[in-house]
Amino acid sequence: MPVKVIVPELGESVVEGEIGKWFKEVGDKVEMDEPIVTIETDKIEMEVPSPASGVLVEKFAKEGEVVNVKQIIGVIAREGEEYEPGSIKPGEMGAEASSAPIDTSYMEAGAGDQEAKQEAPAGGIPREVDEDLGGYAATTVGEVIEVDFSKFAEEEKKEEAPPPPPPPAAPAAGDGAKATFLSPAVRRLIEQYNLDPAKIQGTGRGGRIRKVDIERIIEAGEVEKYQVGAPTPAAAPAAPAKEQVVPERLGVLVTGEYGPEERVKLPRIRKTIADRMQQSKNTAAHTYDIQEADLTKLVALREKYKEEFQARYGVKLTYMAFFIKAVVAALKKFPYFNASITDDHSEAILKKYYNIGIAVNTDDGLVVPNIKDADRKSIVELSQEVAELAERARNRELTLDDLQGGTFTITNAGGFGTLISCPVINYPEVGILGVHNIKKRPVVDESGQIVVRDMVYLTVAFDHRLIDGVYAVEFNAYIVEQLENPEWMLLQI
Amino acid sequence: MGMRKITYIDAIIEAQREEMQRDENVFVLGEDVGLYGGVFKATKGLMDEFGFYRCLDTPISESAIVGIATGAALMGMRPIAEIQFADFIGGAHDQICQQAAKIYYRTGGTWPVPITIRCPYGGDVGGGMYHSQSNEAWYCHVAGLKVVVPSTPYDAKGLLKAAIRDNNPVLYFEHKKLYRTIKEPVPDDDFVVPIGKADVKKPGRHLSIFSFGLMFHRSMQAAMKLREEGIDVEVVDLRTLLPLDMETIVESVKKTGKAMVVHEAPKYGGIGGEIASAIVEECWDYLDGPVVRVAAPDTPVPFHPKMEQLYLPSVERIYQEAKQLFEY
Repeated sequence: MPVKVIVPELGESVVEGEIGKWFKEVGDKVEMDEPIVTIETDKIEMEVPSPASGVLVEKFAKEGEVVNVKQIIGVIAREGEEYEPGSIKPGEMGAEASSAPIDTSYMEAGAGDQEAKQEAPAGGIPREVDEDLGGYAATTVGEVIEVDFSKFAEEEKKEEAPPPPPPPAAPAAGDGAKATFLSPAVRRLIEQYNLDPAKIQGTGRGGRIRKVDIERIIEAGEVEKYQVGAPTPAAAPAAPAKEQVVPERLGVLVTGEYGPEERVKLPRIRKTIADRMQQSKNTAAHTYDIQEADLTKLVALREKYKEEFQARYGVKLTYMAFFIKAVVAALKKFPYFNASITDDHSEAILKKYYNIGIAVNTDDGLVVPNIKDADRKSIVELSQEVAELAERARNRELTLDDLQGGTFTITNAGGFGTLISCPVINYPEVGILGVHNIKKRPVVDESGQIVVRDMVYLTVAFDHRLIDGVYAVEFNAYIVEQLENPEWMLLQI
Repeated sequence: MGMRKITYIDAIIEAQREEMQRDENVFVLGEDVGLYGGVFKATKGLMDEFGFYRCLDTPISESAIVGIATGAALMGMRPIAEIQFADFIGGAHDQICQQAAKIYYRTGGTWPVPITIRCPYGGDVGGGMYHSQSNEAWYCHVAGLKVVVPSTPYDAKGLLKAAIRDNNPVLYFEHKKLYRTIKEPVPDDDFVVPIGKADVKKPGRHLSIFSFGLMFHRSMQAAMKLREEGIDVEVVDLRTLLPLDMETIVESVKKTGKAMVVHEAPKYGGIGGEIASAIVEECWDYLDGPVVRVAAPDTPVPFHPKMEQLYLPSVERIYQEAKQLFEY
């Protein structure tokens, strides 16, 4: 590597000198220790010996020019060395360029006489090597930085603080429900604002909720959206990870008040279900209308086409698809069933979209994903989507979007032997249809004969705050009519 | 009263000169402080102005320097003892810890020891293991002492005056790298920076960094870098290490929820440990992450420039640790 020619120490407490006379020109050969230039100070004139043998390839200072101790004033390329002109810059040896430029406006380069000729390094306190520890007065020949912190105090007053950064790109796959640890600071804020951690997307390690996540919500004025009992909850928290969420048995027998008891830690999903159930029951005025439907024609239709359907579309032709179709038609005719009522009971929010929730039973508990825009989907598509949602629900692959935005729910309690039940409304909806076991039963037909028909009981649970009995009865009756006459449904698709 | 921009070392000279003018009991002693004006020139001009007996050149004996100072203090004087490099303070250890720190207590409060011990400390000057140490933690552990560390010229002048006027033995650690590399507007007349009070030099909302000396400036630079990414760091200049200003520290952590201490002394047993523990004890309900210390490894200060750069916490390292803590 070519060798730099450096201004040596010029004496105690001497920081600069003047180039006196150059003995060599660029291109001249030099021998090691041969004097190549003199430097003058108040006290002395000093010869600078060459630090190497070779050719002088750079000269950075002219005769009469003021230079500082340790300044690079020339470059010598030794035999066999290549030197690219301009590759070594003049300046102070040992001063290293700092990394990417940073805002140093609070510290300005000072104008000292000795620094006048120096090029300021790109911010930062320059690193220096003190070769001669005996001359401490010459400790630093570099730039002097002037500091002034008052600008921060002004800034704070003006509240010009920069906005908080957006959440980091890939923290962890998990929403607030997966956060296993709420730090003390976060807990305080959650209590203070009555927030529901399950609603908050955490951006911290492992998906945990950080203080800034809550601060962002507060600053955006969205506290209400995230409170316990807010109208847009997830019916159940998403559980995208595949780890076990089965309640752990603690296995500790404790002595309860009346005998031995076992305490079982419940998974978060259970808590959410419990919260929702309680909320729904405490808010909606649950009332039930039960009617029976003769599904003989529908059953026959399904029997006739189910194999071909399965072969052609790769999915089962399910009754649920028909129930959805019937319900959607009924919701269009009875719009107050596809709605919510405000907490102060002053307004109904009639939804113009039809997102039908399907209750699915999983190992972890009940989840209700919804099919978006069910009014625009065919029986085929509905069958497919129902199957897919159920599958994803069982594999814990549901997303928050699957669980939010529903307008009406259907719960299929058939297949387990239930004749009739009284389902819980999926808050903040105002109605839910319970469909039960389709069973062959003896009924009396129009002509007075006893015949065997495929019968089913349909329960419409409705929120009497918004919907009165007659409306609900007519709604239910309309669904019955659709299902009893599937070809009529076809005409209205 | 006028403000002019002066360097850290000029502030130190000015403080000593003004105190010596104000109170004839104040005098300076140490190695090379008189005739030579100090190896760093921190006592330049004092002997010329105040004479031989108020700017004493001592033998090379730290034990004698502090011992003489203690004796003089007991007789009513206010000595400023210079330990040429903080690394050499070992010889004076007994005088500081057994005598100066304890006489007031031992005499039931009747014999105060108003000495100031100035110690140039710190690295980044290529001084190697015997000229670069940051050993303030040793003295933070001795009841009866006070320990101050200014980071800026204003604080350097104000704290030195406060130390001289304080009736207790005060260790005043001045960072040799900062002597001539920092300039700031400083009043040209009398003012004092109270001992035991930290200074929030850059308020912020997301994370608190507590630091002093050269590391304070590196923390500031890291904070400015983080600022561009929207991470608003509060940088607190501790100024006094003993007694620690817990009030300011707690207030800061309560606000941000995240705390970091940056010092250039080695990590284990450093003052960072004390501060971190105190923060956890007093701010637990407000913490949003672990309390982190950024410090040097537990080795002597290396001599080779590249090694020293790795050794001292760099701006980049402080930046990375703060960012990680913010994202925790």
